[in-house]
Amino acid sequence: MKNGLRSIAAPRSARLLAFRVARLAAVLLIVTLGTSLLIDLVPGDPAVAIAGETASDAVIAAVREQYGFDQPILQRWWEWTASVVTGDLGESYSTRRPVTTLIAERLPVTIELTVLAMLFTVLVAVPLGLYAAYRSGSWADRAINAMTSALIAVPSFVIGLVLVLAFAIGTGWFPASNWTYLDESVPGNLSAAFLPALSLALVEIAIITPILRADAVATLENDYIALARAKGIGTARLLFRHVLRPSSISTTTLLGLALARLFGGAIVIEFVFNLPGLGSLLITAIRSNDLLLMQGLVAFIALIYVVANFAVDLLLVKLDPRVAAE
Amino acid sequence: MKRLSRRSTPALGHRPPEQTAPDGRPSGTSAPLLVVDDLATEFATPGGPVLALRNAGLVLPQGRTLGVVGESGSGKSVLVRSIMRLLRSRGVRHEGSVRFDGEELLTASNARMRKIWGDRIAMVFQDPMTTLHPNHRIGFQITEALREHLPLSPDEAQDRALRLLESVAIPEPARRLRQYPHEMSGGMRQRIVIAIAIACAPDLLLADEPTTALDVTVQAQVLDLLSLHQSRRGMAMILVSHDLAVVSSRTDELAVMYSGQIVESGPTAAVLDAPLMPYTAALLRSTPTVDKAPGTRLHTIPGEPLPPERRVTGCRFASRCRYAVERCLTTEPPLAATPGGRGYRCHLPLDGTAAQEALAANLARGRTAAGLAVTETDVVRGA
Ligand SMILES: Nc1ncnc2c1ncn2[C@@H]1O[C@H](COP(=O)(O)OP(=O)(O)OP(=O)(O)O)[C@@H](O)[C@H]1O
Ligand SMILES: [Mg+2]
Repeated sequence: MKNGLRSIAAPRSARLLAFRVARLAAVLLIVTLGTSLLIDLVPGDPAVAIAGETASDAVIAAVREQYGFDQPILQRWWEWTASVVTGDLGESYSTRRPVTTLIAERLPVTIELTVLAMLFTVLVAVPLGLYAAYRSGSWADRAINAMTSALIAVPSFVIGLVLVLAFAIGTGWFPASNWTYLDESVPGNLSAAFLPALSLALVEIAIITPILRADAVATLENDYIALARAKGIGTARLLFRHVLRPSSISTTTLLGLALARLFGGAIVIEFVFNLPGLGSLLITAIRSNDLLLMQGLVAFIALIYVVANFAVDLLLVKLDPRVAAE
Repeated sequence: MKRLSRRSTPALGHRPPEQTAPDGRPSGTSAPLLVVDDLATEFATPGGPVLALRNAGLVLPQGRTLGVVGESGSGKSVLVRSIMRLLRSRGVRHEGSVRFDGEELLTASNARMRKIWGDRIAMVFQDPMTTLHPNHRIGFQITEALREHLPLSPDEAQDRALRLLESVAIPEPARRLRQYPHEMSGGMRQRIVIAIAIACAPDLLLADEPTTALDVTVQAQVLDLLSLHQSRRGMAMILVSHDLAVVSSRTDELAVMYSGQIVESGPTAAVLDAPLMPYTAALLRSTPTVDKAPGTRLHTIPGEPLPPERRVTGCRFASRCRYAVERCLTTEPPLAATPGGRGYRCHLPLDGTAAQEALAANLARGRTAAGLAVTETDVVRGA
């Protein structure tokens, strides 16, 4: 029967896959076109920014031509895209260094924040959701529910500000803004990443805990859980070995979505904690009117976001045949 | 705490005379393994409290088998799960007492219950299609119980699991250990559930309709398997069934349940040969048995079972009973005991003349005191 279902579902999920690939391509097209429009949107003349305030009109005009600022948007887009597919994002005007190098320098911080936040989310939300389900209706369950519903409405950068005030400036337990790279000092690095990662994770914890709880409450009603309890096994074993797996479809989906969201959130939280990641690079680019850097960064962030979402879609189809049937 | 039920009634259950000292207390070494006294179970539901079990009492000596029968919804599963304290504690309240090997279970800590579960009391559930974990291999599910209670290495546990599968007559046990439940038939799965239950050689096995969901052809095999292991290991067993034919040959004692109560109990043969409670008699008439002539009409019990949460002033069976007189509607029949170790809740036990007179009067009127229509043709066979 299982095989029968699969063979019926296969062409359908192939169509679904084609649709999602097309959507991915469309989103990337729109994003890159948008970034090519940046030149008309950002205030000030990029040619002036490059040549300097004091440069003569002739120099500015030469710069404008050299960088192609005077060309129509489609042409700009085409030239930029053509060089991007060869892996060349151009050179930042303000630093005179390749955009790809700048991104590669800053990416590890953003990725570390994302991964750490993901880790916090799983380590907290899974035990919390399972426990709330196990004690459903108890005061502990209600307290967890109250906490998560309060947190879910607060943006992560607000949480970040509160955490900085309380645990960095207030108690001095964590650095407020100094980043330490992993190869300088592991404890230093972890202590610098702790608060920003936690601010990111809290929102995801608030989203995932109640979902896992609801699924686990349903799982606990099953006869196979009664049988497991009748063996006399401990509560932790019951929850992690018997309840978690059958309750984890929605949670896995949400964790996949969280990964993309956390990456976006990490860029924002870097502002709050002043960390040398992609987010602060974007700020630098905007401040110095560094158009190519801006363009490259926005396209790169969008690409990661879109690809992550695409991967989640695929995962979803694999985990839950109902999605494929939609 | 509000009482769930009046405590005035003594435990309903048969104590074999040789195990009871003159003062009525269990004597010396042969104290019964399980003594349930005035047990009540209430569920808090959105629609209000549901008293699903009331005044339940029974006594089960070591190595003996008690059958529990009754229509669907009469509280059989609630009874066995309450004895094992396996109902999830939120919204569930118990009253009374469950003494297992001298120890009170209703007030025991959860940690203590985990020591008892699987090791000293085990359970076989009704539907083998839903009682095994879908994500775990058979081997894991069997060794888990073993390793929880016995100091075994993984290899030793695996070895035991293999022998357990052999002992429940599963072919190719080594291959089966690596399989998942969905790769097996219902009969096979129920054997595996039995293997899990007997893994630690418990003293008491609670089997809640272990064959109801199975093919008729495998039902007898599974029941034989249970009997075999029971006698081999000297386990006591409570065998729940809605099928009187199943319990008649395999149990020493019988408890008949109706609407959350045990309404009759006693030695199985005595109860089935000459039921005292009209409900038991009606249940017997509705069951096909070997000694009935082929073609015998089966009489279904008229009316619907009374939901256990419904409050009534008199006998809970009165609305469906053709013997019912006025008193049955106004006064709850107390628990009565016979010298032969039988118990019943009825104003008009079938061995007395009062029952026959009441039936004759109801027939003459064409209806009982509760308004149930009765005619001559219904009655010819049963009484
Ligand atoms: N979790 C629960 N919450 C509320 N009421 C319950 C719950 N479990 C059982 N009941 C009530 O208890 C009554 C008895 O149920 P139980 O499952 O013990 O019947 P049973 O005799 O085992 O029936 P069957 O032969 O169908 O298995 C039911 O009518 C139901 O209303
Ligand atoms: Mg039942």
